[in-house]
Amino acid sequence: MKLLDRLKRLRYLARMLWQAGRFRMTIFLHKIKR
Amino acid sequence: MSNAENKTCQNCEQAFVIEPEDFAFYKKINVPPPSWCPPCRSMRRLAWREERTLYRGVCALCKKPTISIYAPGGPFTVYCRDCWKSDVWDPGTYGRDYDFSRPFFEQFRKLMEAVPQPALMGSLIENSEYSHACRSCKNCYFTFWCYLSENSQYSFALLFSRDSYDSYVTNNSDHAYETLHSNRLYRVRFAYFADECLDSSFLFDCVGCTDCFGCVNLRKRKYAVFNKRLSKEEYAAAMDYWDLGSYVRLQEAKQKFRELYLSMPHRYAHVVNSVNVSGDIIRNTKDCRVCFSALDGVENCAYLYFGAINLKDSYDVNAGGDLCELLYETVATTNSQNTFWSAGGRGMKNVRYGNFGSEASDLFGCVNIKKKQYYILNKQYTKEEYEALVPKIIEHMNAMPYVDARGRVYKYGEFFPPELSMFAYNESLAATWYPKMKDEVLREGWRWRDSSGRDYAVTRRPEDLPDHIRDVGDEILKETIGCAHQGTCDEQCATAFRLTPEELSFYRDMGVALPRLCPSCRHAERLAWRNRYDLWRRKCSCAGAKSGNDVYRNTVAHFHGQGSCSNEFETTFAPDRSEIVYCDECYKAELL
Repeated sequence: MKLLDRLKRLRYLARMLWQAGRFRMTIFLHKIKR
Repeated sequence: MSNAENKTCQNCEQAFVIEPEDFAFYKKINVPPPSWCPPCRSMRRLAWREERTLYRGVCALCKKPTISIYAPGGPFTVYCRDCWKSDVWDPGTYGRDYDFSRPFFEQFRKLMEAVPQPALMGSLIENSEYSHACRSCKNCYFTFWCYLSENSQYSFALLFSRDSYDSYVTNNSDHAYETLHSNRLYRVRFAYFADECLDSSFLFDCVGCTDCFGCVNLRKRKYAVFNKRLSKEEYAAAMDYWDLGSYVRLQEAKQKFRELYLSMPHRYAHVVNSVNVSGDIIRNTKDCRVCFSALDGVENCAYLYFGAINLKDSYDVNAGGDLCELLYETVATTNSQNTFWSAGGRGMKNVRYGNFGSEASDLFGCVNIKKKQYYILNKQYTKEEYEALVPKIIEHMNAMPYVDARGRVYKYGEFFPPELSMFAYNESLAATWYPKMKDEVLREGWRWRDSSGRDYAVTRRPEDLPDHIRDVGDEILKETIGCAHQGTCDEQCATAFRLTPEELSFYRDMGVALPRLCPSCRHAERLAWRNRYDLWRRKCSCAGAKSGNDVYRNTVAHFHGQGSCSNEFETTFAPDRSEIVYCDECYKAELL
């Protein structure tokens, strides 16, 4: 596989991790508000 | 480029079309065009992967009891997960010469019976003895194809999720119950195609909703009950009524939610951030035809059924992805390139006809080969010998094809026949997506496994369970609860089930009534919320000021004015379905 493909895969995984992290923060803030 | 060609499927004997771009792909990878139609090809591949049936067995190497996907008493040598991964055995020792007096597929089946098979697949698993094909999971029970998840039960394809029960393809979620194709949920019960929702129940196609109950097609909404906006106090009062801890109230909510679902328009397909695609449940994808569940970086693919994360230039793939290119007729093959007719496997290159295996390349007809090169029927060859022998085998496969009981011919270029699979039809994923009755399966010459006699007695009938979860004591953990279907359904009903302590505390924490169905029936009921793998050409149901069936009144004027919308599309909603199906423009005008 080309380097570009590997980078794209990393980007998707990073995005997923970022989404997971950001959502954890959303949950945390949601819990504080309750 | 060749013209489109009409062919008759060898299996269902229905006409199907091979498009010019299909011919171009077959020419590019140098394989003959298929003789089965796309749905039959998908069914044939899925017959080669197990569903959610687990058995008790014994490891043939360490002799310890193990949970296995293989029925006991079968022809296969089954090793437990640890033994199968160990270096004490070598699949190469089961290698054999190619026999030019017998069809290839028969020899392949014999090889499969000889080479040890893993009781359960998966890696980096902790305290999850009943989980199969999972990776990096902890404290899970009866989970399948889950990744980086923990404290979850009865779920399929979780990713980055925890405390999720009865979920199907759910990502980044925490405290999710009964969810399907959803992402980022927290304390959500009964959600289908939902994203970024918190403290809500009964959602369909909702995004960014908090404190919502029984809502369809909402975006960024707070305090809504059955799509009606309420104040915070009104919402709290409504939630006192809609207490899902009560089974009676839960059933009432289900019924009302279903009615709302049928009265609202639905987009013809779930397509997000994608161009030039046809199919359903598609995200970050381009230039794909007839693709279902194609997510994140799928390009130039066709006839794809569940593919994700950089899957390119591939046809006829079921469950593939994570850096894949040039796959053809594969099922559950990941991180692989230039691999054709493969069931299972990771990190494969230049493989033709493989079953499982990892980090291997240049294989033909091999089973469970790990980190090797130039193998035919699990026997090692030099590069020159391999390159000389493979064309002879291909020629032999065409000259002496495998012919099944119904006269279907399997030459080079056909996937493995269903009857040679390690799983009976009703144990395989094919039964879920292409359900058939026992006599039909046997008529096809495929295998069927009758459910073995149950050695347990139901100690609590479902109708005798307390209505409210708060009235359920810990003694319920000792009971064997009967499934309300009592084995009368076609959903692999287990007829009874028990609760695990973690499951009971989850139901209490989430405030949901005890289920009255066994996990298999619950799984089937959940899957009914997504459409099958069939595409139908349909017209938009919008008839100007209202939907064509007069159920839904539009709230804004659409681009087509008072007349019916003339847009046509390919959708997974069959023409006889009662849902209102709108084209992209009408849906967006109405709901976004």
